[in-house]
Amino acid sequence: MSAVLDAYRAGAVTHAEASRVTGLSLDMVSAAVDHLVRLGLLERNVVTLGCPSAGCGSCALACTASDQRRE
Amino acid sequence: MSEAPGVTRTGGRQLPISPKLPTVRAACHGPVGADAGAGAPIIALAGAPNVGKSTLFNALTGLRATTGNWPGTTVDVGRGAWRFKADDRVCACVECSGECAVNRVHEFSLVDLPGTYSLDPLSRDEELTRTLLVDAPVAERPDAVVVVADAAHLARSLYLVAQLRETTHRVVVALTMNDVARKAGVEVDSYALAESLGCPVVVLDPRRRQGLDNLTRAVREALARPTPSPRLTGAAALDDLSRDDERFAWVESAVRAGTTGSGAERVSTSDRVDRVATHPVAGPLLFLAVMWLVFQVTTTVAAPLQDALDGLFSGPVSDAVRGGLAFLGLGGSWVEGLLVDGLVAGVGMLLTFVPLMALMFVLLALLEDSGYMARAAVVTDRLMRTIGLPGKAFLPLVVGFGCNVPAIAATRILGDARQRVLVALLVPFTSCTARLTVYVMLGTIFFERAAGTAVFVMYLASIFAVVGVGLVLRRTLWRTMGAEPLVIDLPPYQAPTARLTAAVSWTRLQGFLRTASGIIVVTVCAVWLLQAIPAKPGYGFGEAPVRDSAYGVAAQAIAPAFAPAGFGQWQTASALVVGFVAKEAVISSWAQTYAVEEPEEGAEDLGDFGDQVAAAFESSSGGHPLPAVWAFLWFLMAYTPCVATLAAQRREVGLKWAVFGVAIGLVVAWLGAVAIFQVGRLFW
Repeated sequence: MSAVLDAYRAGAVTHAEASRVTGLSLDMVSAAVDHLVRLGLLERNVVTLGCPSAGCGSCALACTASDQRRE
Repeated sequence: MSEAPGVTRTGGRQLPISPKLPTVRAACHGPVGADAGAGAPIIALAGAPNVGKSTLFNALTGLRATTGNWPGTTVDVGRGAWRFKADDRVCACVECSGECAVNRVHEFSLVDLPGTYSLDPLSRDEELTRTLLVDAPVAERPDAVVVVADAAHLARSLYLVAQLRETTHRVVVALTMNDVARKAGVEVDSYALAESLGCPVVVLDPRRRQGLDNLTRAVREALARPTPSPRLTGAAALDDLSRDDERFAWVESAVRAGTTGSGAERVSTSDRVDRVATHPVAGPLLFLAVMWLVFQVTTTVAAPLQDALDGLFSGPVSDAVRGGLAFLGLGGSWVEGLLVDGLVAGVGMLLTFVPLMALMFVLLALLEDSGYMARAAVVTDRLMRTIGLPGKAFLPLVVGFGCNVPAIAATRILGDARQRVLVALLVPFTSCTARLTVYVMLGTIFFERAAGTAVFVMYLASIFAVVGVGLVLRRTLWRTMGAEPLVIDLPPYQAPTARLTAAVSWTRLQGFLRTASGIIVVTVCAVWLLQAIPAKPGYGFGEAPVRDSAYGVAAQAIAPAFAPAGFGQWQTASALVVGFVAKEAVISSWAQTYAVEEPEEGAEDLGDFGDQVAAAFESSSGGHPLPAVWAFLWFLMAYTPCVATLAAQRREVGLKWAVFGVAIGLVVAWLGAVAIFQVGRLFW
């Protein structure tokens, strides 16, 4: 688990990268990440090009694909 | 387990537990007869959510189960009688009354505990599971625990087993989802896994009621044995992280021993594509190629539509408005100036970009919906990390390429105030879609078929500016900054859906139209007013040529500052000043200025807007228009994006840093523009 945490601290951002760095299976990395997120040692994020706050109303990105997908 | 009684570890938080602990033996709810009779062994069913635990519970208890709040809690727990025959033999009695040893029915009391990944609770549900299994006195605990484990995600399921094996619980692992695991190329050897875990492992399929007898037999055999010795971990001497490490090492060892198959088959199509899309070298090249294609397709396909709209606004629409005003007796009045030279010329010019923006939004929505944009973000993140920013910092920066205002707001996700300030100062260098309109306009005028490539170069320049300014600030003002690891969830690739793509594109286009019909209309009116107010004697309101208006005179005072960058003409300089309001206003004010400006005496009437802009750059650059255009585009990209971004910066990081941000933007914009022009003029 520490190896997975170290991989992310060293710059890995995806499970695949962490798997490559640690030599662990994707399933093992996924389990370790879940645990690290539960412990508050890692933060999981979803990337979006859109407005995270539903927008100010004046820009062209007042609503996003991700927002709509979540709905 | 080494936790103190009465508290549970929750990743730093402590959840209080009621002094009077609930136990599986004290609890009683539901109608009489639903549960097994008194004295029946109590079997707890534990496991992570969505592994088939409730399906197994229903299969084992049938209609004899009840679900309700556990006494003293608000947690839903199922409880029922798990009945089975005591013997596998067929009854040979001649007139069996059902009371012989073969036919006698036995029962367990089965408790379906709330789903949990581990015994370190984060919720009330998980807290109850821990309480019943760990914190209750040994005599009050269940007689055995069946852990339901997902064979397709074995590692995730076995952490709970690792924790339970540190206690004296009799543990039986019920392995579900075996068909899913097989499809993914993983075969579980239940015997090897059982040997490695030190407890029985039963393969079953609760949906098809397969393997239930084997589970019954395994539980009965486990109950017949004395309580097992706890797994030796030396846990007492370990800190939390080391103890978790030891458990994961144990889980990994068990998974390795208990599974066969290379695991290569488990690599999905998404994973295979990601090997290229997120590759350190191929990933950025693919990203650049995709973005170049997007800009090239956009500018090429939209160009004819844009020309048609331009002709519509400068021709029939303007003529119709003039005709209407003449009919009303307002021909040649200031009203005609405002409507035709102001609103129709300014806003109309901006509206010619609607097809282009629509196409761009559709293409970006397709990329986003397909899942590619998340990969592009990973690729971009690597570059951002060269600045030395924490991982999370790049999330607002990515948002900035859409619009800087929400990107500034998104800096709130950064825990450290210094990080927030730094990222809020870098966001304005990310090239928002408003700037795109100006890139396209100048790209079309000066680079024609290569306009898409020109736009593409500006986006590269934007990334370069973020990294460059970030590096300078990190090595001067922000020498120390913590690093926070980041995990990005990459969605699987999927075929974009027409409905979602259309909805997203339309919503974004509405935003563009709102800007054009709101702030740009106000700006156009303000510019028209300034152009109507004479700054030199001898003219009445609306009578002076633009160069002699308040607008023109102010612009001529500012213009020399841009001369070293090759665009020192007052029309160009004034457009940049108006651009402080919003970048779309650069186009509207430019179009407005050229619409009302009369050619100087003796000069040729260039007529077309594009020709006038080209002539302005030709003149101000001393015959080097291309370096001057690149310098102008750099300046436009780097200086303050809009007043809304300024307001957002002030709100998020304070006035002092907002002003500092404006200063940085202007310095970077001006120095870069001058350097580009002065170097460029040597070659072009």
